[in-house]
Amino acid sequence: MEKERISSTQLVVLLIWTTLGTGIVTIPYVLGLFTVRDGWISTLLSSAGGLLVTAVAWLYIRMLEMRRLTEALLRTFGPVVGRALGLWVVFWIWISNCTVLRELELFVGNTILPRTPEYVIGFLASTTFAYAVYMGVEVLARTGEFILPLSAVVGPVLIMLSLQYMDIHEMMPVLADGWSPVLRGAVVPALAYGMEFGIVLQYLHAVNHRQSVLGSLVMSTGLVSVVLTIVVAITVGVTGHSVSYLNYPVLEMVRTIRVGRFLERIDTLYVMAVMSTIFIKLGAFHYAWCEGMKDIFGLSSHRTLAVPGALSVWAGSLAVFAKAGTVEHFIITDVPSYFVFTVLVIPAVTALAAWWKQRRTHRGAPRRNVA
Amino acid sequence: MFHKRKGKKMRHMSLSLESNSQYGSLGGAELGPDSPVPDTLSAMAQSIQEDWDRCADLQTRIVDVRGTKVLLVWIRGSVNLSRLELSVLTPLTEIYRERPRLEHIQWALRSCRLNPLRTRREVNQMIADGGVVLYVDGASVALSVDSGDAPGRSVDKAENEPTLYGPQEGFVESLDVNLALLRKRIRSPHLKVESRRVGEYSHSEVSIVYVDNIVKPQLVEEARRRISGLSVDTMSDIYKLMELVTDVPKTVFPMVEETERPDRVVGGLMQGRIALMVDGAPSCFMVPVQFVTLLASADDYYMNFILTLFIRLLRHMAFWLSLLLPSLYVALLTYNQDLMPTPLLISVASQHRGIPLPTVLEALVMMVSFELLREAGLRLPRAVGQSVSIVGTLIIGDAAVRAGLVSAGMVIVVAATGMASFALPVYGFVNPNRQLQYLFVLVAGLFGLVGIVTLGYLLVVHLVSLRSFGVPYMGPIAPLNFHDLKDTFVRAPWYAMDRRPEQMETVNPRRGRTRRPGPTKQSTGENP
Amino acid sequence: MKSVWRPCATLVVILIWTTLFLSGCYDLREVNDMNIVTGIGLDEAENGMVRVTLQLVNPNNVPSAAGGQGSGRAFLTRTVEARSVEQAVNKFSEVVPHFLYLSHNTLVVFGDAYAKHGLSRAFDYFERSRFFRRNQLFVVAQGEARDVLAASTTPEPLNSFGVRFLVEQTARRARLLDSEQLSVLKAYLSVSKSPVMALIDVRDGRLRVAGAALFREGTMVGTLTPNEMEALSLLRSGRGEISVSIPCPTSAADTNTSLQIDSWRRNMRSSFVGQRLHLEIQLTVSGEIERLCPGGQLNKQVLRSVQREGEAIIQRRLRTVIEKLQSDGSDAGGFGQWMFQNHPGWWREHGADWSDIFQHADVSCAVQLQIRRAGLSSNAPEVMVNEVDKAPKAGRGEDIP
Repeated sequence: MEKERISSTQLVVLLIWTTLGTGIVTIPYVLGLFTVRDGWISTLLSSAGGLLVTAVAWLYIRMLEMRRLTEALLRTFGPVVGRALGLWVVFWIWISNCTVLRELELFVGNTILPRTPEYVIGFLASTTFAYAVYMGVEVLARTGEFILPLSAVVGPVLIMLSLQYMDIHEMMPVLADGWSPVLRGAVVPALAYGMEFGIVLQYLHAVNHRQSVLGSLVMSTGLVSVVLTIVVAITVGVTGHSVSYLNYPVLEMVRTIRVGRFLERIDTLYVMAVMSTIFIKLGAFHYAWCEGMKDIFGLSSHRTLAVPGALSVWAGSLAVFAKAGTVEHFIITDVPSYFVFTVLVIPAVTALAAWWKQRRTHRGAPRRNVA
Repeated sequence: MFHKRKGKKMRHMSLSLESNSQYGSLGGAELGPDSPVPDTLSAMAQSIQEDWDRCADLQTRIVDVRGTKVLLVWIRGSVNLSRLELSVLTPLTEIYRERPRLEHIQWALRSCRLNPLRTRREVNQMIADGGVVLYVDGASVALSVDSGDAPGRSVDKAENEPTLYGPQEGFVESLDVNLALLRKRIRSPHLKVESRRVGEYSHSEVSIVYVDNIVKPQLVEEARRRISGLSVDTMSDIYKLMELVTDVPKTVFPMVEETERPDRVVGGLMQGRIALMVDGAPSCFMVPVQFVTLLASADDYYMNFILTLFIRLLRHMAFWLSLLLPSLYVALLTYNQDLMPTPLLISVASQHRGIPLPTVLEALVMMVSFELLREAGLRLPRAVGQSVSIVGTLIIGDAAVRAGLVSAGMVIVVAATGMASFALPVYGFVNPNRQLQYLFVLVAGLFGLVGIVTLGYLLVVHLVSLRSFGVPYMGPIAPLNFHDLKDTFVRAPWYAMDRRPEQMETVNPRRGRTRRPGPTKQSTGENP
Repeated sequence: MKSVWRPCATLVVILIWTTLFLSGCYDLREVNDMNIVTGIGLDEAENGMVRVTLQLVNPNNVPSAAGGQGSGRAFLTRTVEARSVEQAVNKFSEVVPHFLYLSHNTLVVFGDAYAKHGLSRAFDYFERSRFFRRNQLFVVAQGEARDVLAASTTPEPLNSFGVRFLVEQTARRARLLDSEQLSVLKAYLSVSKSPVMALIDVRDGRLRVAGAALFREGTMVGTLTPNEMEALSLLRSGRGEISVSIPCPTSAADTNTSLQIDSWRRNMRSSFVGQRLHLEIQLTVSGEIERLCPGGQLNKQVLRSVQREGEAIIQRRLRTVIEKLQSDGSDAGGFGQWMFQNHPGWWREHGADWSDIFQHADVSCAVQLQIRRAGLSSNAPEVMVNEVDKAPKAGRGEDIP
């Protein structure tokens, strides 16, 4: 079987869904906790997270070529330390996926299926990403590509329809409370959602062209922050200060839409659109997890763990974040530092270690340009 | 003389070797022992009698041509007797040489196409193919006389793929005629036809048709490989071949493009695809195929390209509607009533008063009865079929609503779904959609829209994972190929479609270099 | 063995999983079993109880194209008393067969007694519930909400749609401000904290828009008549159809000059005279002539005088409504919001005392009126009535238009 490859377009799409899937649900809520009027500045600033990841990825690819992060850890740090670090990374992916699945369960359960048990919703979602990951990275990327035009139609339509309720004055005066709330608000989008771009390090082996990785990262960071800024600005413009107490501000924006007597209450469509993008996000993380487990435990294929892994994420989402508010709390307090360590520090250290190892082996020999 | 014969023999050996390899692994054992043709007429007659024991339709005739006995063998019904009379028997009577030998008889029959047959198997094959075998006493080879005239119909309108514009010819059950229909449209030696015999009993001829300076060579190689690996007893139609050469057996979606229109095949060949044809099948199929190709009809290429856009979009909508409409209705009525406008909800609620069945069951009952109606209309003779559809429409449409068994809305939805499925240009899509509907209705009954989206996602994952002869099924959409989008939802004007689809990786990607039409400077009277 | 084992194992696993879903169809709601709620009314009852009235659709009596015209009314109302809104709504399951379906609710009516005790207590319920959308209309009933919900709104068969129509078409004439939940909450959460809601009155079983209810921080503090609402609308930039009538010199009945104002823009300037806030409102309005006084001729002088008089009348109406707002302590004109947006620094220091500052503020208005169009005729027909046998005045050289 020929090696599966994904193109840079597909990588961009995958990365966009990876952050935007739950980002569009949670980021406005998180921002609302810190700032309302200036939320759009925070989202613009949050692109710093993606740029940091790009910088680390540049360093990483320079030293370790197109190896997966888990593979590189094993090569660089040897079987014991490398495996331990690899397990850390894999656990990070797993817990992130649990968070995402939990957010999905809460979102769907809260909005349209209030009486359906959350485990059922979670199970439905698990089947989707287990199947997609089982079919391989190409299928996952193509599914993302297929969903893109659908969301690219639904999203703008919903935004256009809600524009009639938008009041730009809700965002005035700009920076009335200074920069502090804006910066605080930017922390979570940048360091939790921005760091999710780091998942790209688990996809390096599948990317067509080496040069395209960094470009894709920058491009998806830019697109995501632009989309988020637009969405946050409109949400604030439409719902006003309610953003600070609403759990799903964007949903509320959609719930506001009413065109005559025939087009209203279309928030279910928004939930459906978000659901399908979160399926992609879950798949993206799960594939990275399966590849990581394959490296660490020397499995023959990532398929081995596609289904059991999905079940473990399903169980984890319910077991780890059982109570209301735990996910949000985890995202706001723990995730930034945790993600920064995993996505920035570990790859950077690995790259540096690889560089040091290379220097040691080549000491005495004529200097070789590492390209 | 000897030298010449040897050369002939050599050529023959190589020919028979090749034909052996065509028979697949079993080596054609069903055609009897592969021994040389016996060298006396009585032995020959006996060997044929042995092999064709209890075959009442076998005709043998021994003619005495001035002292030399000549044996003629054929199958009743597949030989044109008057032609046999005219081209074989009459010339034989006109031989004046006493005790003519094989060469003389060959000379006498020079106006016929004669082929030497050296083994019993070749003889049997020729008889089975509907030819006439002629054996001259004492010769070491038998001769085949081509005067076969297998029963069949003449070229007719394409019944299953009617179009308003363009040529109306359709394939018939004869491979030769079908190939001639193609040759009529591509008058170039680059149109290649590679034939193989498939089927231990049927020995059907299967042809790979392609244009060799367009198609990607690996594609032809792959088709050859897949066909040579076949080992089946009969291959009487393309449907068996379809299933046996597909990439993914476990899918309900058509993985090949079946057609009975030569013009459609020509279009496919020009895109760098290959056609597989089977003798005896009134249609052929093309690979690789993509989802969007299956939603294109031949009419699209004959119509104005701007008007095509709407019709293509309509068809894409029809595909998804025929798949999802009943389930969406069920979801809206039982889970997601928010999405309905209030007046509609009120009217639906008043329609539903007193309907005994839950909406899901109501939908399933209606869908099953619709299917029954369709199946009944399909199998019955045309005259009875019409009355079935009238009775069915009355029962389902009016009486059921009046009796309060189903709601009028449900009747509309199921009927609209049926309409949508009939709007699909390829029949291969109709049945999968019809049957996947049930699954969708079930999940809609369990989880509403969430269920539909989940199952829909799984379906999308399945669709994008398919490949037809290595080409991704979801075509230029996923993976995205901007260039190939020219012939998907839109059909670009011909002058803009100057390149063949990139995903077919053709050897010769250019279709032509026609400029965008319009008045030239001379014709508008301007000075150059 | 493997070939048999695998499908069996798969089957067993699938069966085990399906048990999880056996109780399925958790959220299934058949349309036949639902009461579609289109309106909710909240009234204050004795002993701190709340009286909740629900308007339920009676689908078979709603006229439709298919001819579903029944004999009875298209809706029915049911009332329940309880300690709180949500308890009352839950209690309906003991009163009405078929479950309540709240998602299609489009109207919330507050009794004025309830409104005077404060609406904020109800806001959280309407904001939190997944069934209610923010595009439902909030109105205040002059009297009991129950009566508003039960009143007839022919020709519209459904009362709540009728109320919405009434309110929306009145708002289109700028005689009401938009009072959907979204705008009410936005106004409630703005620094002005002064939502305005439509006020509905029932007389002889028929509905009438009686004006608007003024709120301060969720408590009803006063009412405005539709005419005053027009002036209030003028205090915010916007569009609409406001009629301004200028009395004619001959004070006969049904004679005046009318202007139809269709768009206006507000500008403001603030300054301080000592501690006292001075707000200068500059209003630019434009409109067309709807009617001229008998014998009116549309020449330069008349136009100028109509314009001057119109400006004066608008100015008077603005001043009246501002005084009313100041006395009621409601900042429905959004002056506080303007101060906050334009002088955030000042607001940070003095915003807490805004309602006091506003009540004593000195507000002046300047109006500039532009007459853009004159309808389909220039002069009134009376100009010609006595002179039809002569050429028009300009033809006689008496008057240059």
